[in-house]
Amino acid sequence: MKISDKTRQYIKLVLIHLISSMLLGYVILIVMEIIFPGFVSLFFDLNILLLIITALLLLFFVI
Amino acid sequence: MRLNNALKTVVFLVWTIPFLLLVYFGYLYFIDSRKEFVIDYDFCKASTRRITGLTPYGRVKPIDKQKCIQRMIIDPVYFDVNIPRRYKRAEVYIDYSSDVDFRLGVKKNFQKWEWNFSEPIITSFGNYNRALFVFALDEIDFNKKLGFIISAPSLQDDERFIDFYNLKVIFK
Repeated sequence: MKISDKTRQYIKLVLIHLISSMLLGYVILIVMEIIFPGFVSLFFDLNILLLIITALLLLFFVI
Repeated sequence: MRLNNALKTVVFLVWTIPFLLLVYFGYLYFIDSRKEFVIDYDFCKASTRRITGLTPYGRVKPIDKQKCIQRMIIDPVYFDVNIPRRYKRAEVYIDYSSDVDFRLGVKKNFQKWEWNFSEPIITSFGNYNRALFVFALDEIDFNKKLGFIISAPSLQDDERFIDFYNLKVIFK
């Protein structure tokens, strides 16, 4: 499938925002976990978020 | 122009993710778990996030994924429960099938070998029983987790066993 340069730029822009927001979320949740133990770890595995961020980063470099 | 607006919407939505996550976890941690904190441990969908599962492995057989049970063969076995804050009372429901009597205890102090035992209130459901144990947690040493012991001394005698179907802990 051929993607035009303009579409690629749009996808990259969205991806960069997505990765940045998730990284920010990751940092905030880590800080909250340190202040309030169990804040995240009781309900959600932060490694999954890290895995998603890595996958999005890979997608960003591939596209 | 229309695409730019769509892009702005997407970017806006993307940036609300951390905020929504924060609000969601805040709700779970500070509001939802204030009322009642329920931990349900199903042996088929066994997540060890809140309950560590029955240990040590030599005393319990591996989880039977087809029947959703775990068999205890040697006494005693343990499990830990992770909770966000201190609660006054814990109700532990254990679904099991066996003719062996057992007791449940909660660890009073993580440094010492001291347990508060509770006698079960048993309800029969035909092919399985449900044992209810109630614990007052006021004097229990709390460090974001509670240690439990399942004690069935008569398991030492012969080849008897207890099949566990479900563990449910309600903190109030």
